[in-house]
Amino acid sequence: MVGVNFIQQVSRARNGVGAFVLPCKRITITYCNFGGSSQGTRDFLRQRLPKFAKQYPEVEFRVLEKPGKHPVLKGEYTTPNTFTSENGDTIKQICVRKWNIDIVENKLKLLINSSGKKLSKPKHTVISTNPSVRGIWSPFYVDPNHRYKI
Amino acid sequence: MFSSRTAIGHKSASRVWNASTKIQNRLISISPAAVQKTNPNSNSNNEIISKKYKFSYETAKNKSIQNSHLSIPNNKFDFANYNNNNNDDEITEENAKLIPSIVSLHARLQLSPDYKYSTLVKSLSCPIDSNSNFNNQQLSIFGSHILSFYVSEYLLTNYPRLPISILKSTIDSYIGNFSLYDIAKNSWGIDEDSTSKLEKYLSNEPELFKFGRLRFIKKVTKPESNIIKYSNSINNPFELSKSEAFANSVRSIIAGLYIHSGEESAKNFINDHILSRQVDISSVFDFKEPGKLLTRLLKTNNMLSPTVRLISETGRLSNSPIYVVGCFSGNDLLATGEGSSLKEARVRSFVRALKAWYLYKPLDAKVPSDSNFNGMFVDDGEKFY
Amino acid sequence: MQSLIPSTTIQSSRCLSRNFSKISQIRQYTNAKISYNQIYNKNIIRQQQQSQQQQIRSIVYVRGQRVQGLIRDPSEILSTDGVKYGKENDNLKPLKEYLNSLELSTKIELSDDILLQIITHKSFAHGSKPYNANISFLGEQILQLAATKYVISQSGNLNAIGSLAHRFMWSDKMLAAFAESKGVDEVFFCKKALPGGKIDKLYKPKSIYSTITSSIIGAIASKYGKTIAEEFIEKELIPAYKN
Repeated sequence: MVGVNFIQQVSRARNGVGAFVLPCKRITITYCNFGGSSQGTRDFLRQRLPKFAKQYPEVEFRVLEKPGKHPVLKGEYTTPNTFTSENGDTIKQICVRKWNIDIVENKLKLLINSSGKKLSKPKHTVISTNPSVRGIWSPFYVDPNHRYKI
Repeated sequence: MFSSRTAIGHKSASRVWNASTKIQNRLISISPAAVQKTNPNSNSNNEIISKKYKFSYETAKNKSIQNSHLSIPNNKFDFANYNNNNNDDEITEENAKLIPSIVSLHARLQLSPDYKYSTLVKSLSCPIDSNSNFNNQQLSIFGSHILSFYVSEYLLTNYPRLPISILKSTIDSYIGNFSLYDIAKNSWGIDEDSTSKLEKYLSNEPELFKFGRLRFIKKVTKPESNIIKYSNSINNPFELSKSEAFANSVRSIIAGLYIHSGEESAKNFINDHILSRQVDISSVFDFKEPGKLLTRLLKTNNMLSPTVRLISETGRLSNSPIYVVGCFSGNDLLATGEGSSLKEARVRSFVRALKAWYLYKPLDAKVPSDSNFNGMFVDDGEKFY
Repeated sequence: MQSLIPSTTIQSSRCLSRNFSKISQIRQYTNAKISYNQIYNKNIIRQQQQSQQQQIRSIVYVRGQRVQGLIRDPSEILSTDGVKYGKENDNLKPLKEYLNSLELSTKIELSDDILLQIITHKSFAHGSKPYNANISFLGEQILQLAATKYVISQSGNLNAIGSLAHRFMWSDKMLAAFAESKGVDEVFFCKKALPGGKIDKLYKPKSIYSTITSSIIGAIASKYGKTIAEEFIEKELIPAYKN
């Protein structure tokens, strides 16, 4: 149009407005087949994993054997720009060395419920991408009785 | 020898080649670093289309398919007799169910059980060579038509006064390549198949699992340094940029939704996943001369031309003054603007007045595809000077 | 003479008395018949305004052949191929007749304003009149989706999508030809870019004339919704492709 140019934009995600897509997409469980530190993880894999994985069909579970290493739970997330692995995915890792079956399960739940973002203390009480509903201040918003008089 | 050479060169060159050997010698002496003559005929049709359209969503809609395996009937409008000579099902439904990333993507998007897993696999495979028809080319064209319609009807009913260029730009910011890339990569978690065959072998991964990732031929825009391209061949027609490949997968998934669970669920899916994203339409506008445009706008609406009056000010003699001015038409206040100089405040008030007009939003607008739709606001068209 | 002064004059003079502005515009409308290359100029000088030391600028309109730097008579701008803009003079007749002849599940009754808007292109009178850009955009979108849906419903697979015939279904050529075949393009307000402002009734640029068809679809959709618009496409446009 004459007189109006446009500035191109990219839409911003608002996960949960409309559809909610679970940010956690993959969980890799590594364990050692004989190490004592993997005892709880091995128990979890044997006893609870099939049922647990059925509860979370959104998440892809991978089990890797790493002989001689401590067991590690690794979550991969769709959320961008935080901790990144070599292929650019956001990851979060928890070492479950020497931990028993219940703690391993709780840690897995923690990974699944996480957004993948780095933990940080919020500096503002309200965080929003929307502009302020209040608009720009004008002196006329103040009641005439309460205005500052010179 | 001739035949192998002529296969590389284009038609007109091959004719000269056969005629005299002199020219042949000269051709050989040309250094590979020299600028290659591009043959206008060899440009793929899709490249021409992408030059014709300004926005990536328009390019995606108007793509043409040249499929050598397709037999086209004599009457081209006899759509029922378009036959494909290739086997379409490269990955069967049973095999697709074995791919964990496909199953988890299906669950993550909360697709209905009617949605076939093999369609998801097909959506993730971009065309790689002309031998196979198992790709998302046609799915993505269909998907982009669905997307384009639902997004534009939403914008036309909710912001009926948007100028066409702004409207198209806004549609592009919802369903352009970059936005859909962001959806596919950063919200749906679609992976790109970037590992080599060797890596797959070393990681003990089944051959089938590669179909769970997005497969495409990457367009190399920047060749590596110190590497000279000797190949005479023109760009591979199946090359795609990363954003386009991801965007096409989203378009195809939506087309699959239409095919498997109907138009209504495709519409709801678009509402949930695409229209729910945030686009700040007011910052799409970039006015060149807002005052001129506002005067014209008021004139065509039989209103008095704009006058700017100072409402309040502070710190005129300081280094950081603030003025608040109002843009009036007669006695009506159209908008206020603030700024550190009178001129800035004035221009800002014009821009706000224009945006207040163009971003008019009817309350609780229904879109034409709603069942309880009863008419929409039709705009006169944007004003220009 | 007083009655011929356009309303803007009255507004601006009212404005001037309030704001004490020094310059005002008074538009004078010469009603006399102006022949080829002749310009009539008349100044209205009011004694009262002179005493207030106000400058008066008179505006001269030109009719007939265009003269560079001079403003044309508005009545001349507001016409195409000799047809005057407006709802009168049977301008809407071809379109109304066509819409009445339709046999859809709902009777199509559009208001005169929107019918006039359908047959007004953006290029007409510098966009000062309501034009069809927005409804034709909506119509185009519906047509593209409906065409794609039609192709799929015919074949049951996606083979024909992206083919030449599929993309032809919403091309300008097709839409302009449809409008001509139904006779709805008899009256169409647009500005044809012909050298020297020539008039040629047979010259119908496809990209401009195609907007008639798409805006009919858009107008139907804007009042009756998508299903009726799709029915219109299926019953009217798609049979036309086959010929």
